[in-house]
Amino acid sequence: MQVLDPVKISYKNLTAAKFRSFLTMLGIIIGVASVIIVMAIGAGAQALILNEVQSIGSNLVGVLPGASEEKGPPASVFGVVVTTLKYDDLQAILKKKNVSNTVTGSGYVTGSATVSYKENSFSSSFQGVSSSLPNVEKVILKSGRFFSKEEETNLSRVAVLGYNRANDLFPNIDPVGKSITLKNLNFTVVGMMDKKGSSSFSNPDDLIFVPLFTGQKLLLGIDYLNFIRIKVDNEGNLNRAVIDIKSTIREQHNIKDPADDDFSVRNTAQALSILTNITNVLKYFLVSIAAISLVVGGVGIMNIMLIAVNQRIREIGLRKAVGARNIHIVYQFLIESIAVTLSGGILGILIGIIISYLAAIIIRSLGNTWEFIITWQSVILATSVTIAIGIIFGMYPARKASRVSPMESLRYE
Amino acid sequence: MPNPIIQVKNLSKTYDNEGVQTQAVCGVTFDVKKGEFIAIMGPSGSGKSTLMQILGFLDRPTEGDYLFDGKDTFKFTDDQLAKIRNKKVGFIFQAFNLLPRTSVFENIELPLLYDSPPQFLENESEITEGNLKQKLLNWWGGKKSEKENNEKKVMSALRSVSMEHRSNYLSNQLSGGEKQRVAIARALVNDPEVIFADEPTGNLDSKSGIRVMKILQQLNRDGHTIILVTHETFTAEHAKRVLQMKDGALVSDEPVTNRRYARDGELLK
Repeated sequence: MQVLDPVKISYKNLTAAKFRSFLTMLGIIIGVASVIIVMAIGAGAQALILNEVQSIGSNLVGVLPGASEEKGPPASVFGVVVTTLKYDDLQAILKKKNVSNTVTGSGYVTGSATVSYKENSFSSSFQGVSSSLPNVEKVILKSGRFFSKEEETNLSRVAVLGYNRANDLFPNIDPVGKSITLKNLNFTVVGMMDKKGSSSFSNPDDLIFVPLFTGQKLLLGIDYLNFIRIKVDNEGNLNRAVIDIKSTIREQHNIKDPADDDFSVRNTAQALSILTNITNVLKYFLVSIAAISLVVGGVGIMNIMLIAVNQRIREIGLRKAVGARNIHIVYQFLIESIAVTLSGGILGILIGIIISYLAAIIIRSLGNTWEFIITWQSVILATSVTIAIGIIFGMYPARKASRVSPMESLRYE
Repeated sequence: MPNPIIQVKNLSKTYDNEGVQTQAVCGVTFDVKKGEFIAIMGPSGSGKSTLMQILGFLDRPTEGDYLFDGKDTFKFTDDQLAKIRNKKVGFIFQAFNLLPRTSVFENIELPLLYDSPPQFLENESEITEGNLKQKLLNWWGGKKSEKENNEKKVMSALRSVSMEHRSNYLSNQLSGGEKQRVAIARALVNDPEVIFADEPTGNLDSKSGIRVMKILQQLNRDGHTIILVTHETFTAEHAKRVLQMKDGALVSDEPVTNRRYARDGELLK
């Protein structure tokens, strides 16, 4: 017997019952396509999030209030308000004698309030930041200027609008020089930012920026900072800067034992690896849900193959009567089930790629930067999983078929 | 005197159907010599089909001895039995049992496909870089010559049942008589020693039936041993020797005195 003969026989049997073969395949097609889609969208979303973080800058160090595990997310992520981080801490860090590698830094406070201009009025998030922000993060102004050091210390009521906020409040006019109210206080718009693009956490285009003390004292009435960002002169000095910053704040807070830290310091590299971990967990969680449908498809295959064994019991009997060995029958049914799963798998991969591509086009047309990513791992994974399903769920029906006694099966009506 | 091809001693078969024991064949003893044409007769339920299935290795006996070509078959493995079914015996069934939606040619070729284990299970010398090309050539050449060989065998089997002109028809496009002739060709293709025919004329009109009997007689003249199961006396009279069965036991074993010879145009009564 030639190797290809069982393949020919299977091909004949499958094409003889096209609709049944297609229905059997459908479970696998849907399963594989959803695995491919989930992996593609997961990879795209991961790339989007990581690119956002990287775009903030790679030589930044963040200081967050509240202790946290090195590898886990900080307390503020869970909505816990910790009030131990003060403006004095920022000042101490910015002193060269404490942290020799700092370039500049900014404190941040965040909140939300009603903003209005004439009859336009809605609730918006705002951020109080240091006047040095343009030197810390990438800030591109579309018009006007950023606020000055004097405006920051004088509690001036000036504001710089994010791109979307500017357009919401001032459709088609330049907002610079106009007066808006924020939490019932009058503010003068001094600048407007260019479009920056959304980030998964907060969209700078939707923010209103005010001087740090203005935000702290006038709008929020607090004396602490939500977080601090420090720019370090060189990426290679990040670790040293983190150590210096930690000891500086410990001194500020009179902490002797590092285990008692009421703050945490992270650099963007760490943030990246944490985010990669979180997004990976999400991605594989989704993939495992999609994989359930593959298993369901496999059970469907087993079911159809068992029915096929009963339907074709006379055929099996005849094949045995003319000399087919058990192994011949096992091969025939096994190859049939692998052929169904594999062709279903290939169709599923194609459909998955097409749908992921369409999804990428739609997401892009909604104004997001989105990468269309199909990893070869996902394709190989899907293909090998379908072959494995073909073997695992085909084995039982195939063995059952091979054990049929030729005499009984020829009598079978 | 030619050697017996089949020697059966005290052969019994008991079915166990959910606790109910049914004895289909009980203590049958007889010999079949090479070149004989035997008809096994008896009413339905007499065990004649069961006996034929045991003789044809489609089923195993519960008790007794069965020597085929001098070899005791009792301890044969499934694979050994499959090999005997493939090479030494051929079957013709009442219901034809052709593969549906498959051409006449492919139906007849079927036993030839199974006449060796799957190729990659066979022991072969290891593949090295040096002999790979030669091996592929051999494999390709072997495949080609095997294909040509198979084609010759199938066409010659088709000729002996006068069905060459239907070689590319699908099995379901044939009439009943034509189907049975294809089934005979399939039984013939591996040139077996014994051909078993289980009520081969049972589903046929009398004209097709006589044609089938004529072919069987011709095959017998060509040297094949033929064992025919039937319940019609007229059909049985085409054989050389008749075994009568009743309730699983052999009740008579006599040569046919007034043998019939099937001729075209005659009707099978």
